[in-house]
Amino acid sequence: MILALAVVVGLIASLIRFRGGALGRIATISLRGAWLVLLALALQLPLLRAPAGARQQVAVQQALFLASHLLLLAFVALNWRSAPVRLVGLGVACNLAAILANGGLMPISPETLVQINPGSSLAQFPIGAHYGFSKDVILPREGTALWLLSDILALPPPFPWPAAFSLGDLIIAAGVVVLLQGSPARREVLAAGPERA
Amino acid sequence: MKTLNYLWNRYATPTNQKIVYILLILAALAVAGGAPGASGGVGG
Repeated sequence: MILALAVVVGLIASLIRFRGGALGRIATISLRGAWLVLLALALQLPLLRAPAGARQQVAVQQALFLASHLLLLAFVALNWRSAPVRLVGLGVACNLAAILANGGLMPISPETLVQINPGSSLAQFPIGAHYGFSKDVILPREGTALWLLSDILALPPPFPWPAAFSLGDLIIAAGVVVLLQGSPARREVLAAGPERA
Repeated sequence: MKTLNYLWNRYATPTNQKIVYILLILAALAVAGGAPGASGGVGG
């Protein structure tokens, strides 16, 4: 859920940059096939609601999770003319690459989990287990394929919502923030106009 | 109820509804596309 913060950051950035014009710009954003995103999220909910446990216990949820990526990629294809959506697509592709290379879930190391769970120990994070209420599987660094694309970045406490995230997550967040600033063409039009706020 | 009706008529304009819709879709896109691991996923 921490990635939803990208919307808040993007909205604040837009309000700072364009003030009263920000909401009008956001209202002109056109997204085709938005239902694909909602359906993709719905398919992921069973995995996001599954508590920690053996990977085999979430086999069905994992299959739905993987299927949801087809919908996300279809959404990106439908909106390919939008550069920020292409950026989001790149982030999704990075995450998907790491997920597929590691058997269908996003890898995260026990060390990273200790970082974001204050007071915990490595023993609490058994290798190969599904990390509860997430899309992650616990894997050691040396056993992770495409390690650079896995959840290696951490926001530990005192950040109020400690979390680990991937390079793909960062790219997705950047895409959402840029998308909320409006299209370059519209920006140019506004810059040329006399009433720019 | 009267206050709610007033607020709805005052603020739930088609433009504002579209803005909320876009923000919700983008939030869903970020959540569905990303794969972060949050704290509290194991035990307690």
